[in-house]
Amino acid sequence: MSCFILRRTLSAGVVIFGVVTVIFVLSRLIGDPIALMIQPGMTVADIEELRAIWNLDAPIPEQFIRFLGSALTGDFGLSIWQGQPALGLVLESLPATLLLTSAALLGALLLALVLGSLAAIKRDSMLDRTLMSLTLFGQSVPNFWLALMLVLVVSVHFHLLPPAGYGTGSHLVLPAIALGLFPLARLTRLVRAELLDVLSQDYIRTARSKGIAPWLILVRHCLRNIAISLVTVIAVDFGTLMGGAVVTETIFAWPGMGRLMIDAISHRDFPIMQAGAFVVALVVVLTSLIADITYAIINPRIRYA
Amino acid sequence: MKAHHAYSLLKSAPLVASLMMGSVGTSALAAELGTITIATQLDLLTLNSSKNVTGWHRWVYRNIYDPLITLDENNEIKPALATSWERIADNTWRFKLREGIKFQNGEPFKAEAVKLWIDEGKKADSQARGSLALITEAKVVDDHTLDIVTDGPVAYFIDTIADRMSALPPAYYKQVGAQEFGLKPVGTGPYKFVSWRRGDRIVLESNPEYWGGAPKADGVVFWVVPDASARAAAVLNGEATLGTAIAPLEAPRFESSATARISASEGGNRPIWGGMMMNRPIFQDRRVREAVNLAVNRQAIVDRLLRGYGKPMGQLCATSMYCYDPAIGPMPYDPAKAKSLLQEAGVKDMSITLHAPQGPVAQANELTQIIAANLKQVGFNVSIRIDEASQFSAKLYDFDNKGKDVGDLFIYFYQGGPGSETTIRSLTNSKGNWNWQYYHDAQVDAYWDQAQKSFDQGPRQEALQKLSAKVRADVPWLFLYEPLSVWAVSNKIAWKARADDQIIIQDMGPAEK
Repeated sequence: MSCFILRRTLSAGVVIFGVVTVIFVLSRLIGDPIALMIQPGMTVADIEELRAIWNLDAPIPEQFIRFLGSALTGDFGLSIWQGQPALGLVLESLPATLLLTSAALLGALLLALVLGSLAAIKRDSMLDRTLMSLTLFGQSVPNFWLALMLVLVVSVHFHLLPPAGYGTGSHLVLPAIALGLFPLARLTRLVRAELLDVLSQDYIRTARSKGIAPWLILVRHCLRNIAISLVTVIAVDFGTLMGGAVVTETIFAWPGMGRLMIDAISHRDFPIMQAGAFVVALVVVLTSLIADITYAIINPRIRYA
Repeated sequence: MKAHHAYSLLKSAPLVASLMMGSVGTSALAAELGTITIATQLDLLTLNSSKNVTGWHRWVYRNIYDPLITLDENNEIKPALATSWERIADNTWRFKLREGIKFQNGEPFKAEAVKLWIDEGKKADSQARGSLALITEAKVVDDHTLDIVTDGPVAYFIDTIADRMSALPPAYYKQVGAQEFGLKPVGTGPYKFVSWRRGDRIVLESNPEYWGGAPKADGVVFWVVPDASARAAAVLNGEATLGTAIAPLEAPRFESSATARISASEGGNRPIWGGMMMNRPIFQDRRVREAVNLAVNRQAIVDRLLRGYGKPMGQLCATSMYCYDPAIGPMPYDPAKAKSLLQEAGVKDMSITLHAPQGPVAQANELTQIIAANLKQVGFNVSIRIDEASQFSAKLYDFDNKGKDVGDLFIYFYQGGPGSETTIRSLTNSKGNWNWQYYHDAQVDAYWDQAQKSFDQGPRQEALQKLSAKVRADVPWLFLYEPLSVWAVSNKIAWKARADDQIIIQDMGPAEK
């Protein structure tokens, strides 16, 4: 097990290095942050001086080596526009994004387990068909449109929840729904399909013939067996949602990383882009590491493989 | 009622302790306005007022700090931290400063506080630097007298510093350093800084010891809501008192509302204009440039894209600027005349590229399509190019290659408002560093020179009017329109949009019953 974790940690290091390098190179290709800072009355010397502050006057390989050197000590430099440490700014906005993403996924998972199981047990019934058409809707509706409709109906018309903002549980509900609908639909279909597969297995028939209560069969025999595929999908979705939260964060004024990154990109704020890419890569790598370890816990056979 | 109850229950459910938003301290006696919440489109980059002087930063700064001199709602210059000022030499202004004022941390306000602001603002890392380029030096004469030396005689100097220049507390600033000060600012203003959760909100509370009398609100919250329709919803819902930059599309939602209304400015501070590349053969003929202007139906654009919240233009300067000349009307729409001018000019190749940035120019896609259709009607062969904002500006700034990647006609904005003559100057003066269209005219340069050196209002106004008339006749620009500033205002308060787009809590009052 420890050898397995060590191996995974090493490969995680390689992935993170790769991501940071790619972002460094790409950011230099998209344009010059200083061009956006030029104001009336500035001279060429002023502009050169500005460039020197962030080392942008050095050749790119030199910039990269300097960046790596300080990044290894956790210093990603000062934000070009905000004058504060870039990593600090990213870490400050990370909890909000993690909270939103986790709430969306957790809600989606719990609801998907219930709805997916219902659909599988009542296969081909009216309920199953209705649920499946709804999941189709959930997977195809654009999330910005859903977000705007939620604000319009729930907040502006019925005054049930605040339209935007951050701070209390009530502020979390709408953005989590807007973000969680897609994974909810996906997970519901997955739970149903996997359950149908498991339900036709011999051991389920045996369990039934022994007279075990149906809910116990569902929880103990069926859900445990579909857990691996669920963990895989959730680990992947978590990374996707972290990236996809941008639109939701914007509409609901959620102070998360997505917005910070989009602003950084449009301002060409390289230090924030780099620190942000590093943190996202780290979170995604950690998630998949946790998923791998979870496999081993769920299924002992994987442990010894 | 039931719905309201459910909401308050949810509202009271705390998330985790660390996520709680900063709360506004309540004084024993509530101020007449309570807490004012302003939903804005953008968060600040820093709270250090010497590092950024853009309008949306000054919305917040105006409360924490006091300006040296200020503008009233009619754009008239008024004293603030400075009680009086005079020009003691061609390039030197002397300011008498208010006595007996203290910073919120107890430090006394003296001339060195203003000098510190200027010195910090002129450093390379300051985004206020460009607007302070005119200043060569600030000299402390005594505790309450300060001299500011400009680079040569600059008649519009006072205009450019109004509501921008302020003061920093020297002892505290030295103690915490510039970086930390940007997170925990101290000023002399009516509201004290409480907290800033980046991307979410800045919370201020009233400063009971304010020299100008008791502040009108207990607290002010600047809440960042980037999405325009969410800002409208926040004000309609009663979550915010004021919403900035409301899209005209959202305005009808307020017509039937009992909780909020729309307030629009009379002019716009972010005019949209078109620059014709004067170094391309097609635009060397004045008749072609005039034809471009006559071909475009500004009123239709304002009516359709801006739902009427706009004002067609016919000169360089927008309504709120000192260089605006009310005698010059908007450019007429006359496609027939445009056609005959083009015939007269006898241009063979009528192909032009229309170029615009996504973002800085609102609805760039729709706008360029309308302009292209208008131009096609009079015989131009137009292709459209839309760029992402910084790609676009990189092409404009490619002075080494004479802007070869900029379209023949580009659409852009400029930041107007009182005191922004320098912007127009940079755009149209031969040596201006924003002269992206390579417009060179000796007469125009001379008028600018004259305006800069005329300290008397009369001759200065005259020079600026001649300048406006000359550019109108020369038509290097496709004059377009000023989009008005559209605000959502809660019916709980009385407030009117100002010409300078500022939000000043002292302007607000309780709603008239």
